[in-house]
Formats: sequence, C-alpha cells, structure tokens
Amino acid sequence: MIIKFPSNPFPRIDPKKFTKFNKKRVTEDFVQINLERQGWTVYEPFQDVGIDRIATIIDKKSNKKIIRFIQIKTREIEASSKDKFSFDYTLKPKDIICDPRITFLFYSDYTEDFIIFSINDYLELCDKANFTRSHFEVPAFKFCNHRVGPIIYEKFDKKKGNWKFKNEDLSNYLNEKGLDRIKNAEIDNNKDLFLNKIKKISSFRRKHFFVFEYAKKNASNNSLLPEQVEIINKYIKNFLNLKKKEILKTYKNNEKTKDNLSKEIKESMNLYLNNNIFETAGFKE
Amino acid sequence: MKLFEMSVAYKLQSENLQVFYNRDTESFICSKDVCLECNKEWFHSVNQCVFCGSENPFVWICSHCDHKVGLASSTPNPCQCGHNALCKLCFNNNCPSRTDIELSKIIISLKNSSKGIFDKRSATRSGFTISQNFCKNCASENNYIKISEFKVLKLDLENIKKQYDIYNKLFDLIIFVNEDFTKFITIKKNEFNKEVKDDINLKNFF
Repeated sequence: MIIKFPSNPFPRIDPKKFTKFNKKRVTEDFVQINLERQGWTVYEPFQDVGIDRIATIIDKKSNKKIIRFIQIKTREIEASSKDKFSFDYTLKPKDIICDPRITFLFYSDYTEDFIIFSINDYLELCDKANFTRSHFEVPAFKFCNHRVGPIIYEKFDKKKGNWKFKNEDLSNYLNEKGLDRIKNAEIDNNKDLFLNKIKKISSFRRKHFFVFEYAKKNASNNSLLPEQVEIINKYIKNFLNLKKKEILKTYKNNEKTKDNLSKEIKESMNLYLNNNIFETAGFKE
Repeated sequence: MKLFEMSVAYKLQSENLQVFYNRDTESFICSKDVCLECNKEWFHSVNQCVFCGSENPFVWICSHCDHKVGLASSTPNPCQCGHNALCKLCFNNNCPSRTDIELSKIIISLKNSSKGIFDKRSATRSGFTISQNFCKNCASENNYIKISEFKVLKLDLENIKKQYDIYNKLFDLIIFVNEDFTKFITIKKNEFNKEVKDDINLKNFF
C-alpha cells in the first residue's frame, strides 16, 4: 500500500493550532511517524540535546544499513508578497557538522511539505544559488542569530505551489523525492566517498566561517567597517596558514597555563566546560 | 522506556554520550562526535577563538594583569590589580586578539564582544569564536559521528546465552542489568562473556 508522504498522522489534530512554544515535540513526532511509515526505524533522543532524530533503514541493494542524523526545522510560511511565502530559519556554525549523514528536514506545516537535504546538498545549493556569502560570512551568522529566508513557496493560483531555494527549483528535494535522495546508500557503502564528503564540509567551514564580511556600510554599534574587516581577516588568515604543530603548541601552552592555576579556578573552568558540552545544539525553534 | 533501560541511558549520558531510543524495537543508539584522524571527542557547543583556535576557557581574565577569576562571579570587577579589566578574553596570551592593539580596539568597540571574544549574551555570541573546528589533540579539521546500537536486557544468568543468540546479530552491544541496577554484563558483538561487573564497560562502545 502506498502511503502519502508526508501526511498528518493525527487527523483530528491541526498542526496549525500549536504555537512556537509547544509545537516542537508534536512536529518532531509528526516527522518520526511519517518516516516510520516509509519503512525507516527512527530513534528519538533520550534528552533533547543535539540531533533531533536518528533514522535507519536497510538498503535493498547492498543489504547494508543506511544511517541519517535528522535535524528538524518546522516553520509556518510567512507571506512576503501576494503570491510568495518565505520559510525563515536560523542556522548556526555548530549546525554544520562534518558528517555527510547529517540531514536537514524543513517541515512546512501549513502546506504539509517536507524539504529534505543532506548537509552536502544544502551547502552545494547555497553555492549554486550564490547565497554563501550572505548566509555564512556575515557577522550575524557568527553571532548565531542570523535568520535567513532563501526557501520560498510560490503559489500563483489555487494549484499546489512551487518551492524554491532563491531561484533554484526544489522539486528534487521535496517530499518523496527528497526522501529518495537521502536513501541513497553510496555514502554508507563507499568509504572514500564518505571521507571525501567530510572533507568537503570541513573545507566549506574553513572557507566561509573564517572570513568576515561587513553587513552594512553605515556602521551601527555592532557592524563592521570595511577597513576593520580587512584587519580581522588578515589575522584570521595568518592563523589558518599555521601548520598543525604550531596550533598544537598553542594548545600545549594553554594547558600549561591552566595547570598553574589554583584548584578552585580549574574546577570552575571544568564545571562550565562540562555544562556547555551538552548545551542544546542549534537548529532549534 | 522501562526503568532498567533508563538506568543505563542515564549512565551513558553522564559519560557525555548522546543516547537515542526506539520505542518499537526497545533498543538504543549511542552517538559521539569524534575527530576523524585521532578519535578524540569533538564538542560542537564549545567554541574556539578564530584568531588562534584556543577553546573557550570559561574564566574571567584581566586584560591588565592576566589574573583569572572563576565564572561564578557574575560581577568580578574590579580585578585585584584595581582595574575594571576582567573580561572573557582568549586564554592564549599570545593571541592577536590580546596582543594587537588595533585588533583588540575593534573587538572592544563592538557591542557583542565589548566584554571579550568569549562573552555571550543569551544565545548571541561575540562573532569572533566558532563552534569547534580544530581537534584539541591533533588540530585536524575533520570530524564525524560514531554510533553504537545496543539492547538493554534484564540480567538473568540462566538465560543469558539464549538472549545473546537472539540479539547478537542485531546489535553492536548487549547490556544486561540486574534488578537493583548495580550489576552489569556488557557483551560486544560476537564476544560472548558472562563477566558480571559493577559498571557498564564503556570501552566496548564504538
């Protein structure tokens, strides 16, 4: 039996009736049940930190297990003009994890659509849509509060609308097609491809996270001037040009400095470090 | 989730592992971010300085005399040297954010970093730190997520082999736990044993 994907598993519950304060759990369960109905085994976090769900399925061709780490973003689309609606979200540097199995699932509850990207597909799409600079290089991204809206829903008449990422068509990432893409077992079965994709993500981080762009020419108290950006980028570039052993030398010196501190200070530093290890990962409401 | 399963889940969580549960198969996945090259733990929530890679030291540092005060003091100033200069600076004395006057002036002039590059106002970061990008052990920039799939069962020494035979093929690990959650047998795939221990053998994960 073919089951529509996605569909509301709780027909008497209107997802639109939830507010941003109580919709997280119901929407994550909505995603989970929909994936389970398509044959996936879905694991939910014992406590709500980090990845939202882990989904696994056996690849029919190779008989090997496919594993995907799902980050769920649910949004109500907002009208930006009469026929256009935007799906706004915030991504943080820590959301861009160097594991090609990371999957971003954007759930539009008003249209009941899933837009599903592997992390590599998402980064490639940003490049293709010329959206990398304004997404990842502006200071607001590093501040961790950069709300972006490249995903657009266009609906010109009563028919079902079209999803776009800037000007790029998203039909290959939508619902069943999006699910089929992440079901591709190549990265699970081909170690070289897996490593290559990890390196693509880490190169992306190096290229776009370690460079500053000024957001506005008229500087406010939190904006950077072009000449300031030049100085900042010069020092970052010097750091990125260091060899690994030079970076490790800094780490060793830091450890030595820490060792010489009082027991109380060291305990305090370790306590706050441990508290932050499990800080709720990004990609949240 | 049953209580004996929960006892294992909490134990693993206390060891900095992320634990996931499937309610149908009543089984777990445990995950851990690690460096691709050396396997050292990787924490995306701990930021590093963009100018030297030093991680957040979680301490107040005086920009005048380098004295350090624990973060429990929410208003640490003035410093013992008399200056109101305790900020959340980079821990590395030689970091350009601390040694270069021009650069440190830019940093201080911005609202988000006026109290140091590791300052954080609610969820907003200074902008001059980034989630872990370099391994603290080998400086590699590549990491990935390691997982172990496991099943938790009630310890019943008479039936342990029978249960092992059922679940061994399906999971990386089987953990048996006794009624009062004080005795454990941890069995790695294809490595049957009946060794009862006071704790879960974490070495068998990953």
